[in-house]
Amino acid sequence: MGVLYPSALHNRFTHSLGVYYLGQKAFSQVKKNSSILCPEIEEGKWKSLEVTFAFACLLHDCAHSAFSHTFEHHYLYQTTVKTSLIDLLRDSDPEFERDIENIGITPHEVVSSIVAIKFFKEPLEARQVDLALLARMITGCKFSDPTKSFMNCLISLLNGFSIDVDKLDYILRDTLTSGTANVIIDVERLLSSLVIKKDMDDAYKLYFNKNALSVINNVLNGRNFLYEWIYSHHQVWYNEELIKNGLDKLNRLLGKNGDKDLLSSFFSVESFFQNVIFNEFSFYLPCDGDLWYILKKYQNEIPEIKELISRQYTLKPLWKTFAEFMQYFNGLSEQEHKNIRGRIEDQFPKYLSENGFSTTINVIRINPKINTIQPNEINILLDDRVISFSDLMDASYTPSRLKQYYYIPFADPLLVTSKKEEAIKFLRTLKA
Amino acid sequence: MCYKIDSEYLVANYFIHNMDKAECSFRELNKLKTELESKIPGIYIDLSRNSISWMLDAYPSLFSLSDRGIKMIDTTSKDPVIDFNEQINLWLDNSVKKQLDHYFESY
Repeated sequence: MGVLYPSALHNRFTHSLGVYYLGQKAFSQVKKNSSILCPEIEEGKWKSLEVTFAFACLLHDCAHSAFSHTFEHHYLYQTTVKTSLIDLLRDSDPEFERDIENIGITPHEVVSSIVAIKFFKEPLEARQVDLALLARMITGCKFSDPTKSFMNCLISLLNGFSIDVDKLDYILRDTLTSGTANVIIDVERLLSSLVIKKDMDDAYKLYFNKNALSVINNVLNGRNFLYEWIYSHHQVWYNEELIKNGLDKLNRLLGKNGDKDLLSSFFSVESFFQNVIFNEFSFYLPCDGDLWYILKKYQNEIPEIKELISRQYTLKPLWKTFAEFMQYFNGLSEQEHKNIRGRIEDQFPKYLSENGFSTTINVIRINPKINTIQPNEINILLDDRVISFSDLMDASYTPSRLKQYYYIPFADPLLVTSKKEEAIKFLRTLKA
Repeated sequence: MCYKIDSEYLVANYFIHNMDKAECSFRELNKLKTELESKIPGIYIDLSRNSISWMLDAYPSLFSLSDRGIKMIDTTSKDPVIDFNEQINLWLDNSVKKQLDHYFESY
């Protein structure tokens, strides 16, 4: 967000508070709407689940890596992080080892679970938080045991595939702090419609009442708006490339200290519990500021870092949106798109050289990140009947097939301002 | 620094190299991911919920979510997935691509 909206405040702390707040509201509504439908869930059980859920919401991102999701894979790369979490839960939740293989793992969620369980063990246990369930809520690891379907409903309320309090907070937060004109989401209406009850197979499921249909639509539209126009903005992608390439070069420049390099030292579970030393640096509770300090130290050695910090960008996009891309390459077949993409990095610099422009280019794939509702992902209660949201409303946001070929070439600013049309004409010739 | 590969590559190659299968579980994908990461140094395959979700939403004509994992939409032919794989291969780093191709030759 900061690339486009420098004053938009969105960090782990504020987001965690937001998810905690929404989580409490959501749970309260679920309980109010579901207690009568689930009389077998005693008051004591509701209370205990409420506490665990609240702390899962608060701590779900406590070990989120610096620089958002760009580098979090370093947590899991060649480490035993997943095994560490399995070992921590072996006695209290022996099924966790099997169940975690049934999901896709998000690195920072695994590390957040470890940090939550180890770092905050005492205060959590003092409040009778179920640590194993907390870890499942944070990682989204559902029970395969069908008798635990009630718990699975709560897990998906924090960490699901479609609408959950985590996603809800960042949609609301990013819309508010950026000031962008996005849809308005009636959070009260949405959360007040939540209910858990048994389905025909006697398994508990999480439902939305029919009065939330319009809000569910808005949540999807709101999220897709942010992804299409904010998170996928060409400048955001370019900045991310600069950070990745800059840190890659810096990592190689600084070499290794034993078997550790800069990034594996920085993005390590150990750094949440003790100082991790790498060369002259010491990392403890690492955050964005720590990385910025290091980047600034080496800005004169690494051009990408200098460009990133100064915001004096050396390359400009040849086009900025998918709409322009479609206009310029209108009528091409998929094979022709593939041909252009396959030849651009080789042929375009030659063209640039022949025409007196800098030959440095950066072709960035713009991976479409939009959200539709998969069948049976969101279930609606229509009085006594249950129906899937995707059957009721058009939840599809079918992207153009050509979006899989979408990329933006960044090139010499002089070319972009003076000879853009000719350059694009040349690119079209690569289709054959 | 490790090289990140999105889930789409893993899913596409799972189906291409298991011609008799039109559905794969997350367990099977995790197994393939672990195998690839152990055989090819320096790669990380992103099988996170976000990566899978985005793949499913971006290519709804190819894949969808099933109870166990992911299934192909068109079960009559693998051609669309093969085609798709060729396309995404264009974005892979050449040296990583060579190692992945080498692995799948003997898969």
